[in-house]
Order: sequence, then C-alpha cells, then structure tokens
Amino acid sequence: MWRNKLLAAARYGCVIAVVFLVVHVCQRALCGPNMLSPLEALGFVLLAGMAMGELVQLIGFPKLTGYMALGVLSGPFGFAFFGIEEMDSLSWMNELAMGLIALTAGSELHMKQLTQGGKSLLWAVCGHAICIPLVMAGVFVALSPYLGLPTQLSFGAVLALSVLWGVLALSKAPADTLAILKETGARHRFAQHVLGVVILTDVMVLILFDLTALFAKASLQPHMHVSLHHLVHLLANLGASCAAGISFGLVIAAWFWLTGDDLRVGITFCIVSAFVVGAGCNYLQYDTLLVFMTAGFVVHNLSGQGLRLEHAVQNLSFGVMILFFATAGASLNLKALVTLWPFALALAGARMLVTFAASYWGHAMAHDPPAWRTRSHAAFISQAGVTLGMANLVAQQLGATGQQIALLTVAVVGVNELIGPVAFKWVLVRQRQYLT
Amino acid sequence: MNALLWLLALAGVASFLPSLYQTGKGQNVLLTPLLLCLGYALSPLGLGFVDAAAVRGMQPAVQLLVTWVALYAGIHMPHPRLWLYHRAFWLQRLGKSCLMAAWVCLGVSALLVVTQLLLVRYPVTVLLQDNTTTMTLAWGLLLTGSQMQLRVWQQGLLASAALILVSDLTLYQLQLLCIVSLGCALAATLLQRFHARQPLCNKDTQQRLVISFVVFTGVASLCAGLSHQLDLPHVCTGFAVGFWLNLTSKQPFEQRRWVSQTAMPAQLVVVVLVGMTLQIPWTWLLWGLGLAMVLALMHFAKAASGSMLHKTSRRIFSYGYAARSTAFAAALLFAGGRAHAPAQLLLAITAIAASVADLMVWLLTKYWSQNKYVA
Repeated sequence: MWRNKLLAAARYGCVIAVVFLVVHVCQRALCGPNMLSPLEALGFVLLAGMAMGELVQLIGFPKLTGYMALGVLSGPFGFAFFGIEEMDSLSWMNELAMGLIALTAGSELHMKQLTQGGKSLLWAVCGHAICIPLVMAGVFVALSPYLGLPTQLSFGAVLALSVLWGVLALSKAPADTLAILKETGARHRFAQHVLGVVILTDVMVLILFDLTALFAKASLQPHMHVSLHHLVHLLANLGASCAAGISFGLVIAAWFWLTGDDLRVGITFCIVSAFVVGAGCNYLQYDTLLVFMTAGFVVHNLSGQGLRLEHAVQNLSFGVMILFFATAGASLNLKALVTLWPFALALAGARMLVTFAASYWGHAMAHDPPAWRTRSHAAFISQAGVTLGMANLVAQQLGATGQQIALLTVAVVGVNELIGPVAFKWVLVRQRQYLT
Repeated sequence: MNALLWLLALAGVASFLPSLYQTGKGQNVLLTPLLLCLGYALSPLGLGFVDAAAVRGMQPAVQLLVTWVALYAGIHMPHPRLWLYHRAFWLQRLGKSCLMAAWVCLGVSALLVVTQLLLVRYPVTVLLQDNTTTMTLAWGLLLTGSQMQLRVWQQGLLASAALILVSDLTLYQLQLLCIVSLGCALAATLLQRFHARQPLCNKDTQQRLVISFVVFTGVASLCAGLSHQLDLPHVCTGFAVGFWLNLTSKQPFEQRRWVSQTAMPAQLVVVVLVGMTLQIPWTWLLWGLGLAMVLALMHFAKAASGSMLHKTSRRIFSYGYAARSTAFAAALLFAGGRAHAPAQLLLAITAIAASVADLMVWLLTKYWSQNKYVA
C-alpha cells in the first residue's frame, strides 16, 4: 500500500515539476519574468492544480488545500507566474464557480430533511447567529486601537464596524463544505445537517451584511443618513432576488424536463445559464448567491429534475473547483498576513473558540447526540469565496477604513482556510463512528 | 464580456448538435453550412450583431479550440504498433491509397495552378514568406480525399506541420516546440496514467470522462497560450502533443474514445467562428463558387460512374466532412497566429466548397434512401 502511495506521489510530483519546468523554460526563452497569459494560466492551473490536489490527498489533506496551495505558490504573492491582471481575466470563471456552487448548495437543502431535522438546524443557526456576531464584535472593539484603523473614528463608527466584522465572522464556506463532503462521500445525517447550517447561515449573512454595511457607511460618512427608504430598498432587493431565483429555478426545471438525460446539453446549459444569470444579477444588483441558492432549492424540492441538475453540476464542478480554489489561493494577500499575523491569529482564534461554544450550545439545546456538540464546529471554521467577496465590497464602499478591514479579513480567511478544511475532513474521516 | 457571452451562446448551440450530427441523416448534414452562414450573418461584415472587438476578443478561444482540434487529429493518428503488427492490413490498404494518390495529385495540381493564377491576378507580397504552398497542398488533400476524410485530414495536418516546421521555424523555436509538446504530453500521460495497463482504474467511466475533459482542456490551453507567446504555430504544437500522447499510450483506443466525446462541440464552435472571420470579396466568391462546383461535380461523377448502386458509395461524402475540413482550414488560417491574404482566400473557398459538398450529400442521401437497389 505504501509502495503504491509513494509511486502515486512520485507521479503527481513529476506532473507538477514538468509543468513548472515547461512554464519556467518558456519564460526564460522570452528573456524576462513575463506573466502567463490568461490561456496559459488556465492550462497551468488545471494541470498542476489537479496533480497538487491528488498529491495532498495522498497525505490526508483535502484536495482543495492542494488547489489553494498551488494558487498561493504561483500567484502574485508566490512565484508570480501570473499577476493581478491575469487573475482578473479569470474572474468570470470565479463568478461562474460561485453561481454553480450556490446552485448545488441550494439543491442540497431537502425539504424533507429540513422538516425532520428542523429543530437541530434551527438551534444551531440561532446559536451561531447570536453568539458569533456578539462576541466577535466585542473582540473587534477591544482590538480596534491596534488594527490600524484611522484614529479619528468615533466610538459609534467603531461600534458599527465591529458589528459588520461580527457579520463577516459569521459567514461560512459552502464551497469548502460541499467539496469536502463530495471528496469523503459523506451523505449521512450529520453531513446533511452541517451543510444545512452552513447554507442557512450564509443566507442570513447575505441579508445582515447589506444592513450592517449600510449602517457602517452611514457612521463613516456624516452627511449620509439611514432612512426607511434604504431599508425598503434592501427588502425589495431581497424579495426581487428570491423571485428571480424562483423563476430561474423553474426555467432550469423546464429545460431538464424538455431535454431529458442528455448530459452534454445539461452541462452546457448550466454553464451558459449560470454565466448569463450572474451577469444579469450584477446588472440589476440582485444578490447572486441568493438567486442561485433559491433556484437550486426550487429545482430540487418543487420539481422532479433535481437529480438531473445535480448530475450535470457534479460533472462540471471538478474543473471549476480547481480554478475557483486556485484563484482564491492566488488572491490571498500574503503580505497582509505577514504584517497583520498577530491580530489575524487572535481574531481567527477567537472565532474558532466562539464557533465551538455556539455549536455546543445550539446542539445541546436541540438535544443532539453528544458527538455533534463537540465535533460539529470543525465544519464551520472555513471561510472562502463569500467572505472574500464581502471583503471586496467593504473595501469598495468604506474607503480607507474599508480597505484596512478587507486586509484583515483576507488575513483571517487565510488562517481559517488553512485549518478549516483539514479539521473538517479529519472529523468526517476519523470520527465517523461517533457521528453516524 | 461581449465576446464571452457570444462564445457561451455558441457553445450552447453546439452542445445540441453532436447528437443530431451523428445520426447520419441527410438533413442534419446541412447544419455545417447553416453554422457557417450563422457565423457570417452575425459577423461585422454580415448583420453586425457581433462587433469587430468581440471577434477579436474571441481569438484566445479560437486558438484554444483550434489547438484542441489539432490535438484530436494527433491522437487519432494510427498507432505505430499497427504499422508493425498489421502489415497485411497496410498492404491491403496500399492499393486503395495509390488510387487515392492519383485523385490527390490531380486535385493538388489543379489547385496549385488555380492558386498561382489567382495570385498572379492579385499579387500578394507575403507569398514568399508564408506557407501558401502548404495550405494549397493540404487543401487539395482535403477536397480530393473526402472518402477517408479523417486520415486525409491527419495527413494534411502532418504535411502542414512538417512544412511549417521546415519553412517558418528557427532551430531555437523548434527546440522550444519540442519542450512544450513533450512536457504537455508527459503531464497528460502521467495524470491519466495512459502508460498503465488500466488507466484511472479506480474511477468509473463518467469520472474518467470528466478527468479526461479537464486534462485535455488544460493541455490545449497551455499549448495554445505558450505557442502564442513564443510565436510558435499552435497547430503544430497541439498536433505534436496528440501524436506523443498516442505514441506513449498503452490504451490508444480508450484515449481516442474519451477525446472523441469532447471534440465535436469544439469543432462546431470553430465552424461558426470561422464564419465570423470570413472576408469574402465578390471576385473571390465567384472564383470559389465556380471551383467548388467543379469539385463537387467531380465527386458526383465519380460516385455516379462506377459504384453508384453500391451501398457503400454513399460514404464518398462522409458525414462531418465539411465541419472538419472547415475546422482544418481555420487551423491553417490561424497557424502560428498569422493570418495571410492567401489563407483568407483558401478559407473562403473551402467554406463554400464544404457547403456545396454538404448539399450534395443531402441530395445523394435523399436519392439513395429512396433507391430500390439499396436495402
């Protein structure tokens, strides 16, 4: 067995070495440290990322850690094979990946399981939604003098920012959770439960984020006041997103009903529709994730086409996941992690502790099995695309203060992403007997 | 963004077509000219739905798809073991090949004369610097050798690759091409374990297909990107990778099966993109139309003269020929990232000839399907 593992490791190591070597030789031939073009970056990430994922899986890590490691190594803060611009040119792939992940996540929410395990789900989500924002906001206020925020900020502004930070800390990583559940093949009740908690919490985060970002913006800009009009606009936007999601779901269901089991047609439809709907959501300023999650939920629970959708998206997700996590890894600002590491560690550590406490409390209130209370927190440590996307929005909307918070978020996400997937896979694989 | 949306829409259309295309029904063969016309209608010279910037934005996709098509051709080259172990098979084919060669020589001679005449009439200074002769040769091979279209297509690509290598590349570029193609082929082989007796043995068929799709996409995009940056002809690079993969594989048939399932949509998208890049002056259009009609009549005469009643004669015009020939012409057009005026001319004529040939197939199939001599 060990011999086979060593041979496989050597094979995948060879693939990575060969691809790196070819790219390096070609860059040398061009007489300078040229960046890879988007086409080259795509090929490089797909080949080397696939090998890296298999390689780290051999030593017990989740594949997505390998994809992210490749992104970090080859990205602008590593060997700089591709830069920020090249990553931007692949950003459409990220949007596509987020859409597909949200679609899958929505389709994993089964009405039957929601009603059967509703009590556990409700208490777990309540535990997280109450404990994490409150405690993390307190930690943020306590650390705020050392986080590099502008000194002239009023206490009200710091308070508003801390609540925003609490909401950011509440967000989870549906992509990571789905990837690890798929990799381990876990489909038991615990797996469905943690996925449900992650998705519902993220839906809540999407709503809360808009609200808290609005208040944070108002606290930083004296001339801006939050009025009822803003809140109505937010609510209308959410309603429109849900309506768009339901319509999109019905379109998907109709399509699969018409075209049947032709996998190739299904896959292409998923790509095209995800991209077009994503672009439409950006244009209309709808909540893209909410639209896709609602669509997935509708297809699976209100039509008989859920399995066809699942099959199509599963076939598509292999390549998309590699690209998504590799670009996520490449976009991790290692310089920020280097400069902010003590605070990043402190904030990430505090988040892990409060996540453990919230999970324990929520599951205890629901009278869940003891193993769930002590082990489920591992599923909620990871943070990835959703959080990074919100950090980008914070940087855009809140000026210099927002950029500092975004840097801090990226640093904390880096720590969480290093620990979260590994811990979750360890719990699913090694602690399986206690969970099922 | 605009280019990407168009590309996705085209991919959506193309995903429907393979299942129709492979049914072998005559009316479906007409999809190729339809796709070409669609491309031309969408283009800036047509109705202008797609602007010139969008067409330019699609160039990386064209490079990727063309490289994919070349990779497909390379993988489908006959495996060397067949040459060694099945000599009788090849000897049997020799006679037919001689007959084919006669047709090829006739076609190539005619085409060379016509091309030279055209180039005398419309002098192009770039003639001595590009691979016009190669293109003419390969085009002739394509149009006169439709009976065994895939093999002829491969021969055309091989000839083209060889001539481009000899005429266009320096020794340094040749070394780089070898490094890129060998590296990509090695990576793909190791990832898919094509050197093993049971590739991806712990995966089910669907997983193998998905992995193959990702690996071939990765290889094609890396090849296309590196070739573009190093100014290498990406057709040659893709073809060389496919050839190396075929050479080192212990399961060539399984490998071909996997790549075949993903290649047809790429070819069909290329056909539409070719339609978008067509620039056909009226004089060229007339020349092309006339020549295409002559060639089509030659095919018809060949079919009608001796073997009309034989059931297999309908295969003279193999289905999918037009798509492949046009994709190949596109490959030549974009070879090395250089688009020359003669290449435009050849592409235009090929597109028209392909359309006429497809129409002929449709007519012949319709006729034969009602013929009492054919079961």
